[in-house]
Amino acid sequence: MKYIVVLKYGEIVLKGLNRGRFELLLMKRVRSVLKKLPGKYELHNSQSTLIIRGDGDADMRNAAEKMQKVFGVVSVCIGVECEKDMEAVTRTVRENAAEFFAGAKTFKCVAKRGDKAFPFISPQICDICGGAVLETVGNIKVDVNNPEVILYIEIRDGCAFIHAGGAKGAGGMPTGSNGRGMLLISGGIDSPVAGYMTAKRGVQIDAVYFETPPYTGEAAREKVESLARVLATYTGTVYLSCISVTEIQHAIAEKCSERLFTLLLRRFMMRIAEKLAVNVGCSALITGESIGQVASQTMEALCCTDNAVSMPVFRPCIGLDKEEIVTISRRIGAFDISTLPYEDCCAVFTPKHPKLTPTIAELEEEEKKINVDELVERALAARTVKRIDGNNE
Amino acid sequence: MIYFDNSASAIPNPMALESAAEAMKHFANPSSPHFAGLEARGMVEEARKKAAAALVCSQTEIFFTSSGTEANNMAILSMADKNKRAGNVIVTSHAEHPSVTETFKALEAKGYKAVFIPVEGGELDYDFLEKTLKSEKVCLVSLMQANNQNAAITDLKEVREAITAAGSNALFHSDIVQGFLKVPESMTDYAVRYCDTASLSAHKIGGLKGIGALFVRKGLKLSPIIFGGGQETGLRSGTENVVGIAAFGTAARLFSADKSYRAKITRLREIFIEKSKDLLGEAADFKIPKSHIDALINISLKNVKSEVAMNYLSSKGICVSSSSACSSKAGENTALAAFGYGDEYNSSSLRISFSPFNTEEEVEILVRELKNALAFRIKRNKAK
Repeated sequence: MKYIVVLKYGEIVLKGLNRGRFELLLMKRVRSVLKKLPGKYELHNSQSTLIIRGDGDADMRNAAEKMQKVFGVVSVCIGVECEKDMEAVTRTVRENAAEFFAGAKTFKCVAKRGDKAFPFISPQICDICGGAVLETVGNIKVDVNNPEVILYIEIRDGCAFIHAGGAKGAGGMPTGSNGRGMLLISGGIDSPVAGYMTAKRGVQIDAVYFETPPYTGEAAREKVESLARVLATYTGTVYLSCISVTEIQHAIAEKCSERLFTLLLRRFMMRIAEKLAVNVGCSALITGESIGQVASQTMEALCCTDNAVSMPVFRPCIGLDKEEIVTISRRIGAFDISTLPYEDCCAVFTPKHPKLTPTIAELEEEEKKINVDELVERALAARTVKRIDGNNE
Repeated sequence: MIYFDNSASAIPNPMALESAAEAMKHFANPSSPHFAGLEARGMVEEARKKAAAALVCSQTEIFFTSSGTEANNMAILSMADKNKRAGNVIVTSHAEHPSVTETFKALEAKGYKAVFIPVEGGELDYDFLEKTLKSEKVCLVSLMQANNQNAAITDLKEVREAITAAGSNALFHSDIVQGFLKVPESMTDYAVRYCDTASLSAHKIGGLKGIGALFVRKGLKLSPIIFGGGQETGLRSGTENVVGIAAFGTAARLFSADKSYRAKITRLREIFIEKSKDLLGEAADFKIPKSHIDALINISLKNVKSEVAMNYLSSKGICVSSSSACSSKAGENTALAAFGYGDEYNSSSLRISFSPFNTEEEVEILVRELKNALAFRIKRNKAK
């Protein structure tokens, strides 16, 4: 019996006339993940679910695992399908019982009758299938309140689908369904989380990393590439732009107030990111800032950062505590990379006593001491771009 | 590539690579009694002979391991346990390699008391060692022969004399990974004459990674920490790494027999110091212990963070070691901290380590680029 994978999508079913567009984007993303896996797969869309069928070489368990990182999927079930008649269903339950109930002591059956024309009603289906399980598996009892395994028998339009429950999917909206955003990514914990949270809502992510060679090295850049790879595992290919801000840092350190160093640099980063964003068709910037976390993220400082650009800036971590950000970072597999000990570009010149309540006027005054436009243009001209594919591709 | 990180892993000796390639053809298990196994066994024993000759000991005193780290673990764990009757105090210093200090921590967790001999100023405090040996019931002393950060040599003869003078029954292990074939010729046999055990590593002398050895003085019986098929007279089970062992033997023989190797290293170091003083002047600071090996030198570029200089040199195709990290995030270099050179020196210290396969021209390029790295000194506008 061949396994199939069934993906259920959540929020998309609430969409009205444009639901088809969301489904197409979801299918596109699922296909792009499947394309990279060994074996051949077919994808079908029916009754608010996507069904994946594979040929002989396909590893359906691996495929199911990969699908858990596709935005738009709320649950991933792996199971078997058979003809839509009660005898075939019972036979299939018997044939796969060992797999479904390995080591379990208790179970119950749940039937879902999508096709209301099916001659057996749900309790009858459960009754017959439960009987088949008790006959086939030794040492197992029915427990309707707290079973170790729940066997689902879904009578669908074209076939019956039998499985033992689904794993949680990534949720959210299909990648690309909500435009593009430019993520300012560093080697820290917050920005990859911000990228993930925004991407989850269907935003295609581009990323920009600001480096300061030789103050930062190859290892720091590789760390950021690894973090971008984590994001790409969820969103598909991420294009990562690397911009050297060494010249800018030198200019600020030489000519401007030390206490405003970080904010002046942040404003440069925002300006550069905005220009890049416009170039590649992004309509917003995304950062990992959270109110009050560090001196450059006080309310006043964030207002000063915002003021450097006209594009909207999304900060999905804004109201999260560090601990909450860390929890997400761990869940998506970024934390162990983020905590590798390589400096990112902010740390080297950090002032001892940064100004906590800066004003836009004083920052603008400091910026008059350096040629902002020229520095931005030169940094942009020297950018490099790298295509980062996900771990699953 | 210009490579001056030979203390981390040395440029392999081309002849050693040839030996490795040859050994790859002898793929049989050296424990197998058929002719192919015997051929492989022959290669292992031939290499053991060469390594023993280089260390000036008997073949039966060399036991191959997977690394210097394993050799240190094996010696320390086994001897502390074996010599429990002498006491529960174990002695080392904070300047040791983590494979020693971490093994000491594991022993502390088992109830041993660790005493760390000060290395203030970069050299071992022999008086403190003597006092410790007299006042404490020491079962094991573990002190490295040449330090991997500042090149300081610990005189193994003096340590042995201190143990003897104190009437201590302590066993004496030395990590000679950096010192092997690098200490002055007069000290070549010191590990064998004055230590009970000593650990070696092949890839620091032009061999391959993944192979080390432990010298165990004749008559001293150690217990294994790895159990299995009883290879290496039961002390280190596991099929022998014939390829690594063959290359180790060749590298050790060449390094010990060819006098030009040491001479070349000494010459390169002299040129480095001379050129640095010329070109860098006051911007460079050296910490040179009185007694040192020539294979490495610690230099500090004032106000240029180690990591920054290392990154800059790396971007120019030059490899050196930044012995201290830029921020506390990366963890502190405990050896440098123990020497008490000060934060300013440590945060900008670099380790340059030489190989006989480096050239004088490479040293000149290195110094020129170190000068260019001075452009990245931290400068701030102090106006506000």
